[in-house]
Amino acid sequence: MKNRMTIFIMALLGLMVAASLQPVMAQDNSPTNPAAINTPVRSMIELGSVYTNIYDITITVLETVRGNAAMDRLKAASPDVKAPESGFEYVLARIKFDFKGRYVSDNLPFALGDEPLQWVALSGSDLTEYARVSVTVPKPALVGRIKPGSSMEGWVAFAVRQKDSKPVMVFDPDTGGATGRGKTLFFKLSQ
Amino acid sequence: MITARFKELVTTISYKKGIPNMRITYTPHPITDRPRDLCDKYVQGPDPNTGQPMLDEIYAGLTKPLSEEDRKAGFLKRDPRPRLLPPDTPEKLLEYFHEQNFTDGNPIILPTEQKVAEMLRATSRKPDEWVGQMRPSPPHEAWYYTVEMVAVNAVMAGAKPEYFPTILAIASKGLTSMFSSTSSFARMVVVNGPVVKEIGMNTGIGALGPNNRANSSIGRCWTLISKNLGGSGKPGETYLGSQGNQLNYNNLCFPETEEGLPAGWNPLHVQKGFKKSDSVVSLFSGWSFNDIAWYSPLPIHEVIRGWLEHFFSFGTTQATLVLDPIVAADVAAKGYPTKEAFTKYLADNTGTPGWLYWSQNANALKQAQSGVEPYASWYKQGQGAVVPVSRYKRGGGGVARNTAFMASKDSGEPSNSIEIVVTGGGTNTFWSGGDFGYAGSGSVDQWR
Repeated sequence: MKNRMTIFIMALLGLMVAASLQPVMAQDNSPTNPAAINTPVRSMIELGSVYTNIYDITITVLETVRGNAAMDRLKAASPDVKAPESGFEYVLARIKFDFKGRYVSDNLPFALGDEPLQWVALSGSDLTEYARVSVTVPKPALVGRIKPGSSMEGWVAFAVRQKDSKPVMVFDPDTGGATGRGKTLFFKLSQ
Repeated sequence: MITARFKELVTTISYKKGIPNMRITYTPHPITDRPRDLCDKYVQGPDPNTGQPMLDEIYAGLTKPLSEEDRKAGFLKRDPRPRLLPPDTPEKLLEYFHEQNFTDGNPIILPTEQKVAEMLRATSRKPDEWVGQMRPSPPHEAWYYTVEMVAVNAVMAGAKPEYFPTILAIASKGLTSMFSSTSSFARMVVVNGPVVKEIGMNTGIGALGPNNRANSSIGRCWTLISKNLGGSGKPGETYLGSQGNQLNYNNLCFPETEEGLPAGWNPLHVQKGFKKSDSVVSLFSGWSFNDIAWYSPLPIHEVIRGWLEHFFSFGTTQATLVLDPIVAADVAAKGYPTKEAFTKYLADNTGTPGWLYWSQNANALKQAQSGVEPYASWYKQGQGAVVPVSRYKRGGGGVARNTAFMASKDSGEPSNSIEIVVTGGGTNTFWSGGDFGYAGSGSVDQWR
């Protein structure tokens, strides 16, 4: 009986984990409906100019670390890390970026750039971008180029106001050195 | 600063980037290829939109403190488009579609719920599934569209339901057929694989002409999708082609005559990495086409080589040849066992007319004028002589490529920019050539 209960609970937990990893579609994502942590968001980006092709992407914020815990990790990555400005604290996020060509002929890489991901605070429907910070993030960093059919996992870092309990991360595929074009996506950085 | 014709574009960009009140100064349009003294007058004169002196406006824009209004930020919000129109008579609805620029100017089939439902039954995809995103040009705002939205346009174009997966494959590429450039782009779509026979496309006599419902309506639908789902095709706003391009009516949609390929010549889709048994659409971009038959003692592959050497249009560094099967057979018989072998021969053995080479290679001209060889010797032969540098080789020292229009170097593209497609009915040794370049391919099977 105990074994059966254990299997039942494990199955239930499995179902719950599976449910939380169900991707949401980009059309349901907005500044007022940002994706929760561990919720993949599926979207598409265009690469090329006159010769445009659409590629599919899935972005997931896997975990976030904030405040002292973030500072500890940043110090481990680089002991010289400066403290954030007064009233601010660091937030680190580990992000998974999946990149797929739609067809066998889609072979352009996507340059993620150094800072395609921006942090913003939500205040009503207005968005205010935080100043970017220059720190060495824990390895691996989410930077560089991705080939179709592969994925990249890495850390990004920003500083947010200590009193901001609901910071949101924004992904715009044509800012910060990224080379695509597509829908701007929003991700929660708090539970 | 931007020319006045791009007002709609720059307004969209500023909204897209969250700066709806960006300070913008306009110059008269066009400035490309206009005399320098005229452009100087433009700078000294007024902004055509505000009437204010342009230089004063630029100075004020850069130095005046930002007002509260200037500081406002936000994303562009569009009202959702209604899914259904109120009932009316067919005549009035048709007129409404024309007035709203939903058509290509020709009559359309009204997309009733019943007809759209019939179209949707031709795919296993859900009606609300996103197919793609499309925009008139890279800086423009993108529009997103679903399977059902594509079905509406397929009905309007006169497509049969069995054409729908092919139309969805085109839509899934997100490439507008009416690219907003002042240079009047054209597009081309080539269909390969079993779907060609399944839907009865014309691969024979008159394949490029208005002789077949599938060839016609599939190509036409791409333009309707571009206008109605991709935000393209509003002259003066989201379409700036100075003269326009008649090829946009059906985007040169035709199938490759695979059974007419010489032994060893692969169909286009196989060249692009698909299996022969796959059904595939391949999209091209360019401006113009020539139809050619030149009866001469020269073998046909040499006639083609000579044409490629001297042909010019807006696109000078890429070409697509559409060969009739009998022309392809003649070429193959001259020792070209594959399409790739023939395009390599052409790229290796075409030069560039002097006037074109020197006008597009400023560094080479400078070296020629300084006596640096071999440029100096080439230059001495005059503008009418052929310079022995191919403009179709990639990664070589050919004519400077207009990279704004080209695929990235990372695309794994082949060593030359010449493509070959075979189609036609074998009634004459005709072939066509134009400045079209390969843009990409999509699987029809994934949309069945």
